Amino acid sequence: MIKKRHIEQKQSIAPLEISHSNKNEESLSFMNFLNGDDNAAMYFFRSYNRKIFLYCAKLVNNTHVAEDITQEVWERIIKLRNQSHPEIANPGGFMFTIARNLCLNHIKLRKHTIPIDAISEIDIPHEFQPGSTDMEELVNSSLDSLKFEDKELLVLNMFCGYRFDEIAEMMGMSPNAIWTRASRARAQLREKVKKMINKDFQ
Amino acid sequence: MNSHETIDKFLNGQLTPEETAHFLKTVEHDSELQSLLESERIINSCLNKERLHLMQHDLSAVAGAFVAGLASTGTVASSGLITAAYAKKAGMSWLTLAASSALSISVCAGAYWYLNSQNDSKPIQRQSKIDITTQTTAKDIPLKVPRLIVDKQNAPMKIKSRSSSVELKISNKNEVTEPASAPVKKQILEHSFSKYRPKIQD
Repeated sequence: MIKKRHIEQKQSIAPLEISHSNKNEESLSFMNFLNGDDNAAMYFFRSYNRKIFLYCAKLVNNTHVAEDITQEVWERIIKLRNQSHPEIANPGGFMFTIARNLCLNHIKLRKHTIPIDAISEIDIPHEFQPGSTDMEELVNSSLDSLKFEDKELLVLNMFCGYRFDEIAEMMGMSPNAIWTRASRARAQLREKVKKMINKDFQ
Repeated sequence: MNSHETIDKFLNGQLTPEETAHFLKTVEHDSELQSLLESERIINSCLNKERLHLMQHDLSAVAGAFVAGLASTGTVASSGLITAAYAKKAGMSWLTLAASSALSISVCAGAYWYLNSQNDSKPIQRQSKIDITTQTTAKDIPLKVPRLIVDKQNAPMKIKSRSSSVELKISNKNEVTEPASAPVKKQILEHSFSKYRPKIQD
């Protein structure tokens, strides 16, 4: 029902106003979700669940942990239903911020509690995927070697499918700053892969 | 404009037609640009493959937890069918749903059986109902009234106050006198273990 309304409004209004109106509608739907509307809850779950999982899976490099974190994100949002809450203007950004904080917590905890000798080679630097080629592993390890913020940006763009202006809105930054950062991160990734390719050829 | 920036703009379609033509001409002769473009192609293909792999990851556990979370808020807990419908909407397969339902039913049945078995071992002695209608005739209860009753309420008692203890003496005694011809037998109540048991003093 929400989707239908979403589409109807899209068709009726001018393209420039679409993003603003969608944003308002999403904010309204999220408030409905928090106020006990289960249809709105389903809409948000179906829209964001997979994206949050992909985001977490790439940031923590473990699908099982990513699943747990995704579950934790929804639990935290559902807990808000029983509390008084302020109006959330950017639900996507809100959910990804929760996911980001949980991922950072996990990474910090992993850093503090597990000695380097105890980690098996499979866990470094990313989760082993059966059937992946050397080149894929190489690209993944290059992505993992980037700074957390840069990696996050590329993951949101390449895995979750967000445009840079959407990411800028979610992170509360200017699109130009995001574009510059993404370009720099991509350049680093390209350079790393190029070096590794050259090494392989030599 | 460096080569990375040019590649990014080219890939995002931000170059003018003239710039695009110039860029394509340069690529034909520049091996550096060629290797960067090649690494870009490799990165895209590898990350897309991994994205597809992660998209196939089963998230039914997260969906189940989400539905359970919604149910715990009390909005959909009223009907099992509604919950099942929401579970299906959230992406849980029927097999998972059936398995989880069977598990929860078996847990409930086990708990019920356990509680009942405890009740059997320690049967609760319930008070039987008193049928008032069957009690037609009243039975006489024999009462023995002592001849001399010392009223404990009017007996001397001590009242403790902060300053000093004050003793109140009340001499009123309810005495039951017998006719003068009969010998008087004095009965008093002893304040001992045999409390309230009448003791005859000859």
